[in-house]
Amino acid sequence: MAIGDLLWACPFCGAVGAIQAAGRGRSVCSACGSAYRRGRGSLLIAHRPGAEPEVRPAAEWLQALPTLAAALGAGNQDGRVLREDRVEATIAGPDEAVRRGGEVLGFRETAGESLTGALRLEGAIVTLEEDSGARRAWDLEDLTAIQSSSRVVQIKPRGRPVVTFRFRTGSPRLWEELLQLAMRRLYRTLGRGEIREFQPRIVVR
Amino acid sequence: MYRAFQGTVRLLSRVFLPSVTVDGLHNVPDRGPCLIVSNHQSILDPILIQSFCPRPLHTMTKSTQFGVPVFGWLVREHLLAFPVRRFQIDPQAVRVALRRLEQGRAVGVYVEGERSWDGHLQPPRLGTLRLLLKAGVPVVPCAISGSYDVWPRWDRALRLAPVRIAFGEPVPLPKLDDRRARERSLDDAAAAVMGALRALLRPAGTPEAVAAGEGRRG
Repeated sequence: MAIGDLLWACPFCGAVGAIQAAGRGRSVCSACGSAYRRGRGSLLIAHRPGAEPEVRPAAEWLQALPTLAAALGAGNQDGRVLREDRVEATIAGPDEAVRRGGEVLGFRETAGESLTGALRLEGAIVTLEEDSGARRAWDLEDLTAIQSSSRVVQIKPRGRPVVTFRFRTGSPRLWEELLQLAMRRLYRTLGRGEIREFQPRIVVR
Repeated sequence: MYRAFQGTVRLLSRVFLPSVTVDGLHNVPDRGPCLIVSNHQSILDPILIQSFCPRPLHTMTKSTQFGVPVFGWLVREHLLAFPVRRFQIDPQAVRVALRRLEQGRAVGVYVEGERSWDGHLQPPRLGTLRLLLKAGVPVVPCAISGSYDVWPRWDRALRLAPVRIAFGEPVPLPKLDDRRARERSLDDAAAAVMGALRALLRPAGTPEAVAAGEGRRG
């Protein structure tokens, strides 16, 4: 994990997805050059070029971010690419029972097919342009759940296996926020109401 | 093995987390079924809460953990965890939780469903609230604070910081067998549970906490 996973945009210049790990616990905004590192506890120290360092709790830096909607501009139905990042994708295999003694404690996902490629959010569609040249697409309208976990984002398309995206570039948190924003907009457009929860299943008010 | 795990963690925490304080242990029922409902700030939370909870805790744990080599075996065989799949309604997880309660055990759940990104309380998971309303057992709020400063979700490094675990008075919730009655009660249950957690959350080691005489090691 890195600071860019928390700060999906630079609090100083607002560039989305620009804070990248720079080694030795530092992260740097590729747009304005501001540098970030963790201080004591959950404090983050930010150093804008030419300015004194600023120290604030992580939560305060988060509050300083623009809303994702404002950062991306209006509308997502025009098919433009809102975000693209390199990922390793895994299509889930069949669930496997977790047993202790003779008792079934529950089930866990198994890993199925693995793919690498470019993940894009294009309007109301998530696409994966595989390195092999193949293309896969998932309509947001068909998703029943979205969640992030550690360094991955998972989507559950209706009637199809869970897809897990592990990010080589980009932030899982940014993608979770983006997908949720796109879903909320879509649901409003379709008159389905306000989404209250995204996992384990999308629920509207 | 479970008691050995608890002892080991408590010992290690004296060295690496010397400021862990535990309050409200008397609020955890000595016996009989109960649900320990916690907030979730850090990957450390299950380790710390299970180690300092006075009763063995059967904790609902994300299913992917059970596929991790060695760790998956440990949590399955010795740490009383049971899996919940997080991208779908998981009736088996609910069945196991209710079964443990029928057996008179203490069951642990994280009402936010995942670690907080900013250390603040997140909205509660509706499925967890439904479980609390269906179970009809004492619901003990357990607030952990400070673990976010030690190991937040967005960093690999640990920092020393005071950690406090506080068990609160059981939250009075009705037992509702009717599904529609449970749905109607979700907002009230959320307010009660999250309100109880909010009241218990206080930065460990603050002057207020010290003045209140709080904080003894479990």
